[in-house]
Amino acid sequence: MAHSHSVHDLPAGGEMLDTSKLAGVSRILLIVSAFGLALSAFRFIFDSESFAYSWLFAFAVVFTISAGGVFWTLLHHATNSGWGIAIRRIMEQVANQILITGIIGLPLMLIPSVREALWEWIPIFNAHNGSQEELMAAHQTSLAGKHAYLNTSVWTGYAPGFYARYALYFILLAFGAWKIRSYSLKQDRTNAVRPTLSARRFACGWLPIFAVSVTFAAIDWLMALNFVWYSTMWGVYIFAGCALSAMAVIIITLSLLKQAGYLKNVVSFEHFHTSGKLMFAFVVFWAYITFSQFFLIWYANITEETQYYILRNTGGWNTGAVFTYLFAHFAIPFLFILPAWVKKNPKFILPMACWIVFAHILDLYFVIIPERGPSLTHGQDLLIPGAWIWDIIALVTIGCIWAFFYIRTLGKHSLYPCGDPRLHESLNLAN
Amino acid sequence: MAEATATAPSTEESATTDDSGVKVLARETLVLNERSMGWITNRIAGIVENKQPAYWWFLFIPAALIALLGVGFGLSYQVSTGVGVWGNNNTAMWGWPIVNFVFWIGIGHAGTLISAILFLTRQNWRTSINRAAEAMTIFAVMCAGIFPAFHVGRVWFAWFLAPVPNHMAVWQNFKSALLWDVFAVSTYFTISLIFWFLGMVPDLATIRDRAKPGIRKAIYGIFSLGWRGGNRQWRHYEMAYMILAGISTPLVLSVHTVVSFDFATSVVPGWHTTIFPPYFVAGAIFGGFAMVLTLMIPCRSIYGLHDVITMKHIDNMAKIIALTGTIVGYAYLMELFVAWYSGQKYEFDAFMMRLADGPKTSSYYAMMFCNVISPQIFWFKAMRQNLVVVMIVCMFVNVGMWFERYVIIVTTLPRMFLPAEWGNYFPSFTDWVLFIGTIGMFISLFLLFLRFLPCINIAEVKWTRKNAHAHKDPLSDKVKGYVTEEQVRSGEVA
Repeated sequence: MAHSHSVHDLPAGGEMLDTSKLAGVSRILLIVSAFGLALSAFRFIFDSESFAYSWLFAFAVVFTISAGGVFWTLLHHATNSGWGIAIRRIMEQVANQILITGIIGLPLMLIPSVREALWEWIPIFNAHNGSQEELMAAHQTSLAGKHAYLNTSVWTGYAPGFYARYALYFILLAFGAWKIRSYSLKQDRTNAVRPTLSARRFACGWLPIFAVSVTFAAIDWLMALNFVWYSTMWGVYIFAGCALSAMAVIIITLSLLKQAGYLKNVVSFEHFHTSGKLMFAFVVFWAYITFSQFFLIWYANITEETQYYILRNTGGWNTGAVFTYLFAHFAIPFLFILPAWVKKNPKFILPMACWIVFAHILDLYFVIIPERGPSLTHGQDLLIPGAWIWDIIALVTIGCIWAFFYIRTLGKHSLYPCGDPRLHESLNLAN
Repeated sequence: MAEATATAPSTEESATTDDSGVKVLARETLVLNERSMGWITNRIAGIVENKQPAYWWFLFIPAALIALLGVGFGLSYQVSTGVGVWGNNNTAMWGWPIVNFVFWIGIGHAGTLISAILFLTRQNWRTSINRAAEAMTIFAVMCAGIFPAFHVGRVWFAWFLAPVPNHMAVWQNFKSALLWDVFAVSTYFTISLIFWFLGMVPDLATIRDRAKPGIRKAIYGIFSLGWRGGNRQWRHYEMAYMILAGISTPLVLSVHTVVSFDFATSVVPGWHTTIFPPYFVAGAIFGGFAMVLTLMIPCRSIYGLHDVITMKHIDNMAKIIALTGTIVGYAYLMELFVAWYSGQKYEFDAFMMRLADGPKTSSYYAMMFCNVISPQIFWFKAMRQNLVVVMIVCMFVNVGMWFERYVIIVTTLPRMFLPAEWGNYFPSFTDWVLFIGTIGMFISLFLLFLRFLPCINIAEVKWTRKNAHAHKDPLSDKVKGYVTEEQVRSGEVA
């Protein structure tokens, strides 16, 4: 335990990120996102339907990462954990990106041509004046049956409607992220112990709310891309990606901060080891969930269910899907993150964490983009030629906006919760 | 391993407060009353060495009789007469035997979960309960194994399940989830047994060393595999334990996943749903923890183990029950939601038959109440600290998890696609005898375990003590003072 440190040796008030040194990076992020926004606007004007899928894909990436941040922060408090206090501020900051994510996603909800291209049930629903009887009369039985859920009214009669739910998810998630961080920020100033106990109580209560929000968000935005298709595992599947990608982003952040000389006596290789283990655990969990979902649908071979996989197994999608699901998202990270020395060294775990984010992006690409061809060309073409460039542009744009605000948030508060009564325990973490 | 236990300062340290600077919050201690290493050994080894209290005999004699009559007589009758003595019929061809099988397999999950997953996640509190939980796992899997083995009808042909090349050219259908089950359960049993035995070797050696020369010493000597407690032995032991924990973790998850495949790979409405694998696993952990508490709370008071199995342990397990119960509730409701959302008529009707107009609707509500609603009481600390409440909820969970399998099998099969084949299911007398017999078998095996083997991991409990570490606890020498949660609650510290 050569790295044993006392909480009393650390500077009072914690450690601030010197954002002035990152001004150049921030400026580049801003320029790229402005340029990307302009390009996306251009794309929107000429092909709003294809743009819709690119934007949803990029939005889903940052949404899952931010929601994963909410999960890790809540989980850390709810389980009364001590190991990760030194890195918990990073989790809190990832979580608090959820609000900006909600704003990024607004075009999907607000622009009629965008939402109607994505969620085919909306134009059908509108064409029949939102009436269940008319939908039935037009032989839209599947949609008529979902009338109480897939519905654009503010209140469907049983639940909040589609747009209202969008607002609700973000209000609930953003409030949770903000509230849980506020306890910790209060401790930064006062060194009080009580907020730890209050935060634990709050986190336990908010975890079920988080679970329900992420589940139905996943159903609304991703599962309902094809409103006939369904899977009870869907919420768990998207959640697994949230937790995994958020942990990868947390590790990337920590690794870069360490390399820049921050958190010197605060974060040790033990923290990398533990967070690496959690990332590894979620690589396996994600694979378990994804395989089970695929396997059960494949084995039972029911028409309504298999269409999801048939689409992703046809034409050019097949090779990419095998690469993504089998290798990029499971076999490669499994083999490379398994050894302890990889997890312990920030220099080795950094590329693996980046790889995880890449694999997660591919995963969401295969969730969303294969639906585009059949939707827009009515089944004639699986792929829209050249559209992938615009997907990347949307991803870079939204990624840069997200990163710009992330750096800004990181600079506002101490990089670790300097007044936490379990900080001492975390500083002396030993695996 | 020893390093892993050096986590937090505990209240064993002097709890003085220091208002200046960052405070340090103490962890609750896992062994109460400053019990010495000698006390721990004496108390736990004493259970094996001393005469059993009257309670033990009061429990063992009826349990053993029930096991003998139930399993012994029940199976003899069933084998000599045929599976027709069960309540199974053409439509409900699975009935109670498979309900009981899945029920017991589920119980058998907590043990290896506590041993393996809680070990990998460095949860030190597991040390007081892991041994008994692992033992329970082994016995539960033994009870479980009886049902499918005899369900094959002619049990003397049960060896057909194993892929043994033979002159009759009997070969298994590897596409069948039922066959995967054979492999999953037998692998799980083997690894759990090895894991349990390996963890017990140092403690068996302790009992051997304390015994007077004679047959007792010889038997414990054989099973302690020449353990001397040297550094090299500990090093190998910890490495092996770690690897087994790593292997067991996916195994725990895979067993109930495969059990769920028995149902979910079919196209039966109410069975075929993608959330089944994690839902079964969460349910198994849920039921397993409830059974651990059901056994350990009486055990703790009969043998005076309050200082080793503390209220903190019970509190933690109650929280896990609340968590997994809520996860199971999520799965129930998600199934229900998607049955409606999917617009699949048969799927939805299967659920409506469970909920409203089927033959056994009360079992669905019993399941919902026992598994989802009753554990919610554990949101309140006072309830987690009240042993009567904890025992009642655990009983509810034990019953509820049985009903869950009952709902899945018995409310689904008698109402399939063709109304012409609709029937109903009623357990026969033999079904009752066999099920109660396995309960007797489970309890008597567990009592024998308490009688002959160290029911708490003596060595590992000692590792959670601060003076178990060769070097001074690195946390204590640089801290000015600790704060306890009680001090915060009473307002003494902000």
